[in-house]
Parts: sequence; structure tokens; C-alpha cells
Amino acid sequence: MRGFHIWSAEMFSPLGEGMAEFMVHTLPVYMGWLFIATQFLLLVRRGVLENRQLLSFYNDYLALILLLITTILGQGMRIFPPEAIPAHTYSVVFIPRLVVLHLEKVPSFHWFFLHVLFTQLFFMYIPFSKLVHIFSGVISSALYGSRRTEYGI
Amino acid sequence: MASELEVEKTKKSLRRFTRRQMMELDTCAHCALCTEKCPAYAGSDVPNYAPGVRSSKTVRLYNKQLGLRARFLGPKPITKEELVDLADSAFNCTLCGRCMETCPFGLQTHELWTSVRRLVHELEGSLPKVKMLDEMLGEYWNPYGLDADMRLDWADYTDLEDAPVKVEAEVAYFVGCTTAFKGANHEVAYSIASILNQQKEDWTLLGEDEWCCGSPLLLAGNEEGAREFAEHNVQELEARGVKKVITGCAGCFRVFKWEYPKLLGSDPKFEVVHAVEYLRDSLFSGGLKLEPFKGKVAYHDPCELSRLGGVIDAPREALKVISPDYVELPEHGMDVRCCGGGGLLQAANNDLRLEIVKHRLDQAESLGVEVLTSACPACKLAFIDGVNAKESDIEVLDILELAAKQLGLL
Repeated sequence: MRGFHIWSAEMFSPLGEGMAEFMVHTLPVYMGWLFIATQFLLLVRRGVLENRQLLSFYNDYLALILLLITTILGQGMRIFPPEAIPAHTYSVVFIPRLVVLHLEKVPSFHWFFLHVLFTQLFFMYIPFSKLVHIFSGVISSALYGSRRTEYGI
Repeated sequence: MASELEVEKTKKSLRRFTRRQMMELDTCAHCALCTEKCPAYAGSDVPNYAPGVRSSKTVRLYNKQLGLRARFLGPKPITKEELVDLADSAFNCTLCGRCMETCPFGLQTHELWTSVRRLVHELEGSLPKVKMLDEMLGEYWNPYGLDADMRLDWADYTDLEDAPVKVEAEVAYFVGCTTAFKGANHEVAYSIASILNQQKEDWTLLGEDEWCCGSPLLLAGNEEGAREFAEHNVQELEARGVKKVITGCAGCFRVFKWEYPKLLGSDPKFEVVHAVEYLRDSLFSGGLKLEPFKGKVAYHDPCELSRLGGVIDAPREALKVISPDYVELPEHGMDVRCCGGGGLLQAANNDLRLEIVKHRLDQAESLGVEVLTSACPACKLAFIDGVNAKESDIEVLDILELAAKQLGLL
């Protein structure tokens, strides 16, 4: 989010330098670990609980594994020290310029590169996975709401 | 090697799922929240009966023939074993729609599972008893294989003096097969007829011209058959100039009110009212006066009347007048726990039906309920079977029977 200026040090500067540092650099690391733990538990839950396991297709596991890898790589990008970015690689990543990232700190580049790659894979996989419910769930909920209205309940 | 079904036939049937239903099948995230609420799964512990498993299996079959891979590399045939497995899942379900109410995405599972049954029916994979019921409906116009001239026997058995079959009337009482042919429900028909007489309604029965409403055919997956029954019943009612159809059966009510317009492509020219709504209106504004019942009464919402039919308040309002000691069961209204009497479960798996109804009776017993009422003949039969199996002291009555008793009509 920092890259997109949705969560920046400037936003928290009125709270003081220490708090801004905590919100922008420390808290996201803990949140990252929490997110990884959640994904891991969801994976275990799907594997361990019998009725849920029987409900699962391979793509249910794949979606979770992709998300877990993406998150681990994102966390790696945060905690490993930044590296010098080779100029040619820089241009490969940023030439399309569809999304311009505003990085306050240069991240650990290899982790960053893999994180972006897996994020793209994850987004590409959404329409072919159960994760499509992120979008279709809104439509189905609205349709059920209109049914309830029609039935007067 | 497993025997395979003809690809073109299976593809044709699978294409009958609507776009909305396909989207809903894709939306099912296999979260299994519905599993915990499903009475068929709770009563059996068989994962194949869980709604999410049914959704997974349907998607799997669809993808084999019409999925992305199938479109590029060609469809894979569906085996008979897969169809038998899907039929086992589809028919071990009460079609109560509780999964629909539980689903965080509001997937309209009642219609989905009905479509899955239609798929099974079209591929000739229905369970033997369901097939038999379907055939009986085609031959006798009722699911019990009894002659049409027995439709009015309930009036003889109950000594009803005035059971008119007119050529023209304002109101028609559509009795329904389970009320007309099952002895345990004859007094329900008597009660409704007596209240109509008491209110001096210009009313009629269809007599031998009444066919099954078509609900069992829809539940068996035979949509074309149900359409034929709908056409007949609507034609008979409209020919008599009927303005209001009253039925005491939750299944008939749901099908008349919500399915007939879809099956026929237009709204019938009459209003459809459940007898309990008529009772409520008669108690509040029709001058019907009764002696309040002394005893603890509870009401079980029939799924087809409440969650699937939209009638939740009327029976409660009526019962509060009939019995000051009315108590609410847990898991009621939109979240009602099915009694097991629906979805042709009795034909598919009667043991499971009894397991489900026992749980509901346990809930009533824990509240000290003396009279358990409902507004559906299938629920009444399920509760009577459950009471007999449990040797319970609970008395099972339809609300209309209780009202007729307190009116001194029964």
C-alpha cells in the first residue's frame, strides 16, 4: 500500500515521528506475520477438518498456496536488506508504466520482483478459482436480497 | 471400466442451468458454513449430503463437459457412477433452503438443487422410489396411486355436511393430495371447509378435477410434467371464475404462488392464500371468535411456507389469539430447522427423515410443549411418525385443526 501512497509516512506525520515510523514500518511487519499465520491456518483447516476437506478441489489449495507464497515474498521484501538494483532490470520492471510505484525505501529487490510476479499470477488466477466470489459474491448477495424483497421477507 | 453417458445428452441437460446458477456454483467458496446448518448432514454425518459437496460435484460434472478445458480439448464423458453419486446427494436433501439462508453470498440453493434433480431426472438417474412416484403421478394425477374419485373421501370420513363442487365460485379450496388421501390429515381439510362454511364464503372444491399441484414432480426433477399439472389446475380454477385459491398445504401454496407463474410464463387470474393467512384475517377482521386454548403450544414453520413461501408472521399472529401460552421454538422463521418432511426425503431415505424429525421434537420437548402445530400436511405426517418413534406425549395438530377445535367446529 505504501507504494501506492495509500499508507504513507506523511499520512501519519501529525502523530509524531515515532508513531509514523511504527505505523509505516513496524506495524506492517507484524501484520504480515499475522497474515501469513492466517493463511497457513486456513490451509491446515482445509486439510484437517473432514467435511471441509471433502469440499475442497485442488484449486482451493492452489489459491491458498499462491496467496501464502505471495505474502511470504512480500514479507521477505520488507525484512531483508535492500540491494542495488541493476539498471536494465529496473527498466524491464518499470517500462510498462501502467502502475507507478512511489517507494519511500528501496526494497530487497529479488524478493520484490518475486512478490510482484506472484501477485500478478494470483490476480490472473482469480477468475479461474473460487476466489471469483470476491466479485460474484456481491452480485449473488444482491440477487438474494431482491428475492427476499419479492417474497416480502 | 465405468459405463459412460452419451455426451450430447449430458451436455444438453447441463446447459439448462441458467447463467445465474452457473455463477452461483462458481461463487460457492466451499466455506462449509451451510454444512453445519444442513439437517440432512446433521442427521446422517454423510458428507455427500452436505450442500457444498453437492455444489462441488455439480461443478465437476459441468467442467467435464462444458468447462474451459473441455472447450479446448474436448468433453470428457460422465460415468453412470458419477450420476448415481450425484443422485444420492441430490435426493438425500429436504430442499428446505436453509443452506440458502446461511450462505454468506446468498446463493439461491433451493433452485440450484432443484435444477440438479432435473439434471438427474433427465439423465434417468433418479432413485427407484422417486421414479415410481413420478410414474404414479403420470397415471393417477396424484403421488399415492389412488383413483381421482377418492379425492373427496375425506368429506365422507369426517361427516362434512357441505363440501360443494360448483361450476362457479369466488373462492376455491385446493385440498392437495397429502391432505385428501392421508387419513391423518382429513381433519385438516374438515377444519378448513368448516371455517369457510362458518364465514359463509362462496366456495368450491375441484373434486375429481383437482390434480396434484405438481410440487412432487418439481421435487423429482420433472419440470415438464409439473408444467402440465399447472396448466390443468389453472384452467380448472379459471373456468370456475375463481378469484381466490385457499390451500392448507405449504407445498401447494409455494408452487401455486411462486412456481406457477414461472412454469406458465404468466400470472394466474386468481390470488393464492394459505389457509393460515385466511384464518389470521378472519380472526382479526372477519368476526371469527374462539375460546382460547389452555396449554403450551408451539409452532413449527414449514420451510415451504416460511423461508420458501414468505409467510412467517400470519401463523404467529393467529396462534397468539388461539393460545395465550404460545411459545417460540428455537431455530424458527427464516432460520427454521426442517422437520424432514420435505423434498421427497420420505421416498429417498425414510430413516434420515425420522432422524431429522426426532431432533425437532427434542427441541419441542425441552420447552415442555404440549401441542406442536404446523401448517403443512407433510410436516404433520413427519411429526406424527416422529412422535410414534420416540413415544413422545406431544400432540401434533395443524393450526387450522386447533382453531376449529377452539371454535367448536371439530
